[in-house]
Amino acid sequence: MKFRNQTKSDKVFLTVVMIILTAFFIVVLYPCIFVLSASFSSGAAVQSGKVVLLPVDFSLEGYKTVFNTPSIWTGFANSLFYTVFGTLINVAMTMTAAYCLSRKDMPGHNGIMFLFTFTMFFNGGIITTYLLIQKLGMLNTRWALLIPGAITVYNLIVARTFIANSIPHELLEAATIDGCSDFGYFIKIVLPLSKAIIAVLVLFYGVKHWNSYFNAMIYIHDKDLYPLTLFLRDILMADQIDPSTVSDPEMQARLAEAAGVIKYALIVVSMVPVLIIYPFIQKYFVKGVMIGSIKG
Amino acid sequence: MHRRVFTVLLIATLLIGSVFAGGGKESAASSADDNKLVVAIQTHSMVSDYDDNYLTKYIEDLTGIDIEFYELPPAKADVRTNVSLLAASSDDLPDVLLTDALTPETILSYGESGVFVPLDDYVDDAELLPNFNAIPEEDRSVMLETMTMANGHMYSFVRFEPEIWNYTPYRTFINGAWLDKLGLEVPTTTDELKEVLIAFRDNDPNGNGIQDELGVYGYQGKYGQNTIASIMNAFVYYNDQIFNYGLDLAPDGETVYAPFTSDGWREGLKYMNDLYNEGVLAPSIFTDADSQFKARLNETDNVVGLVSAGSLSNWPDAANNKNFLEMELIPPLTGPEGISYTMYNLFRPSQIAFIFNGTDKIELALKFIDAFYASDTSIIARYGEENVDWTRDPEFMKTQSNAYVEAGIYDSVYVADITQSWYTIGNRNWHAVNPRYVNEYQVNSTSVADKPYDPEDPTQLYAKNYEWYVPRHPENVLPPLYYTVNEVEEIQEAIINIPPYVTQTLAEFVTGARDPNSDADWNQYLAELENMGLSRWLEIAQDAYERTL
Repeated sequence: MKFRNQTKSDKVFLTVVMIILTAFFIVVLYPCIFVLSASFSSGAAVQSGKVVLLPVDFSLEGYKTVFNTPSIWTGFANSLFYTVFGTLINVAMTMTAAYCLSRKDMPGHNGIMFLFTFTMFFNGGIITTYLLIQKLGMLNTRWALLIPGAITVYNLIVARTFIANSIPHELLEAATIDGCSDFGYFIKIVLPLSKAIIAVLVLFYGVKHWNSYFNAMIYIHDKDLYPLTLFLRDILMADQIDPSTVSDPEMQARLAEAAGVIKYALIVVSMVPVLIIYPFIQKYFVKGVMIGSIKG
Repeated sequence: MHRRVFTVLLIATLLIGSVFAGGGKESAASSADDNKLVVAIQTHSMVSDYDDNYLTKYIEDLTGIDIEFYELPPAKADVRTNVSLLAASSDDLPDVLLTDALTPETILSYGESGVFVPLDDYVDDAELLPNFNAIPEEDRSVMLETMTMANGHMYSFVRFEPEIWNYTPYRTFINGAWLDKLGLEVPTTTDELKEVLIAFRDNDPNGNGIQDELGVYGYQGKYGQNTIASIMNAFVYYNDQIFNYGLDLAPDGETVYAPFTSDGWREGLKYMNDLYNEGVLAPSIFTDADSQFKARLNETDNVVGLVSAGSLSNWPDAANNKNFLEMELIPPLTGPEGISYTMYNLFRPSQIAFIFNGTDKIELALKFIDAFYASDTSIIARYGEENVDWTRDPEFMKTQSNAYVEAGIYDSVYVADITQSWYTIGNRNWHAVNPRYVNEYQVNSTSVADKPYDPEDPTQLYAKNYEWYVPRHPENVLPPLYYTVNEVEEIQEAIINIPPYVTQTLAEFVTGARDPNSDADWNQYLAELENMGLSRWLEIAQDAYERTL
C-alpha cells in the first residue's frame, strides 16, 4: 500500500519506524565507512585522529604493505580453506542429523536430541577439550579447525524444525510406496526441498569459520596453518603497550605506528569475501529466519 | 545416480582434507634425532618466516642444533593461555620455551609445580654455558638477580638490553613556539610553570581567536603520557604505578613506603588543584584514551601547552609534524622544596627463555640458549647479516656518529645499521624473542648507515634526555619485588584495591571533588587506605625488599 493511502495512525507509526531504522542504519554503516576511509588514508592522518568520514591524505601505503606480505596471503588462503571445507562438513553433518531427528519413527530420537541439547548448556571446558584434541592426534593439523564443533546444536534445531514442518509427512509415505529407500528420500526429496535452510546454514557456519580465531590460536602452532583472523589479531593488538612487561616500550610504540598503517587495509581485505557472498545468500536468509513462524 | 555423486563428493572432501592435514608438521613427538630441539616461540607479527630465517640458520650452523619451531601466537594473553594448556597436558612438551609474556608470579608457580626445569645447578657451569659465564660480573649479577624467584630458585634465562631512552619515559615537552611568541622564558620551577600556563591561557598563543589552549594535557597511558605523574615528581618521587603498584623507597633509602601518603604528595595535589582551578590543567587527562590523546596532540591548531610523553610516535612522522616541531623538551620541573625527579624506569632484564621439565636434552637446550649470549650473536639477533644488514668495518665506522657520541658520552659507534631490517616485516631475526646480552654502550652506541647524524634534527633528543632526565631520581629506587605464593595470598586484596583507589582519589583531589587543603578530606583518604590493608602490605613489601639485598 502506498504511504499516502495509509491511515493517520499508521503514517505516524511508519514514520517513527523509518526514523529508528535510519538511525540504526547509520550506527551500523558508520564504522564500515570509517574503516574504508581510514584504509585509504595515510598512517599519520589515521593515528592523529584526522580521519572522520572521508579519506585524508589519500594513500595506498596500507594496501601495498598488505599485498606485499606473503604471510597474510597464506592466512587468506587458509581462511578460505577452513571456511569452504569446514562449512561443507558442517552442513553435511547438520543436515543428516537434522533429517534423522525429524523422523518421529526413528527409535530413541528424543534421547539423542536430549544429548545434543545437553551440550548446549554444559561442556568440559577448554582444558579437557584441548586434551581430547591432543589425544585424538589432531593438534597442529587442519582437522582441529574442521572437526570439533562440526555441528552447532542451535543450527541443528533450526534445520530439524524446518524439515519437520515444511516437508509434509505424506511425501515420505508416497515415496516409500513407490519403493524409495530412506536414504534415497533424503537425497532426492528432502535436500532439494531444503535449499532455503541449507543456504542459512552455509551463511551461519561460513561466517563462523571466517571470523573464528580461538581454536586456531590454541590448537595450531605452525604459522603456515594460521587463518587470516590470527594475523589480523596480531596487528590489532600491536598498539597495547605496557612498559611494566615490555622491556623496550619505545620499540613497541614504533611498531604500533607501523602496524597502524596496515591495520585498516587488513580489516577491509578480511571483510571482502563475506561482503561478496552475503548478497547471494541473503534472499534465502529472509526465508530461513521465518521458519517456524507460520505453519501450514 | 545422486547417491553416487554424494558418495564421491564425501570421499573427495575427506581426501582433500587429509592431504592438507598432512601439510601440518607432526607435533612435538619425541624423536630419535639427538640434535633436534623443539623450540616453542612466541611469534612476532614482523617476522614472516621462522624456518627460512637468517637468525635460525645462523644458530643452527653455530651450534649444530636442528631447530624445530612450535609457534605460539604473538599476543601475550594468548601465549599465557597456550602455555597453561601445555602445562596441563604435560606430555609431548617442546624442549625450550621462548616468551616474555609470563609474569614473575606465573614463572614461580610453573617452577614450583615442576613445569620448568630449575636452573640453579647450571648457571655457574662455565663448560655448559661458556658465553653466559663470560659476561662481566657487574651485568651478570643483575641478570642472576632477575632470574632468582622469590623461592630462591631460577627457572629462566634473560634478555639484557639496557636502552637509555627507556629509562626515563616521562619526558616533558612545553610549547616552545608559544613561549617565543609571548616572549617568555622556559619555566624551570612549578611556580614559573603556573605563570607561563596562565599566560598561555590569556593570550591566545595559537592565534586562532578562540580560547582553546589546554595548558597541561596528557592521559593515563603507561609510557610517560601521564603528565600528572611528571608534575608530581617535583614534589615527591612517584613511579606512577609502573613498579610495585606505586610503592617505593622512603627518602632514607631503606624503608619501603607509599609515596601517595606523603606530605609531598599532598603538596603536589594542592598545586595541581590550583592549576585546575585556574583552568590550565585539562581534566580530560583523567578520562582520555590513547586515540583521543594522539588526536589532541595533533589538532590543526596546536592546543597543548605542556605534555609529557615517552615516545615521539605520539606525533606521527615527528620530524615533519608541525605540532611536534612547536614542542620543546625541558628538564624535569623543580618543586618548592627543591625536588626535581622524574620517574626512573629501573632497567631490569626480561625473563625470556625456559626449559620444559621432561626434556631429555637439557644440555642441548643450554647450548642453544648460551649461543645467544655470544657477542656476535647479540648483534646478529638484532641487526641481521654482517656487512649486508650491518657493519663494524673500522674505516666506515670513522664516518659514523650518534647523539651520545656527539655529546661525549661514548667514544665511538659500536655498530652501524645498514638495512634497518628491524622495522620491516621480514625473516632476518626473531624480533627480540630470544635471550641476548648487550651492555649499555653496545645497545646505545649505534648509528644508521645511510642517515648521518644531524645535530639539528629535532627528534634526536637522546643526549638531552641523558643529561637532563637520567640522573634525576633518588639514589635508591625500589626494584620490582617478587612475592612468594603465601605473601601474594595475604596482600592480594590490597594490591587489587589500593592502586586504582589512589588513581581515582588523585583525580578527585585535583579536580576538587575532594579538597586537598582540607585536613578532614586528607585524613579520610589516609584512613581509607589503612582499611584496605596498606600497612600489612608495606610490612610484606619490606620483607620482600630485604630478601633482594
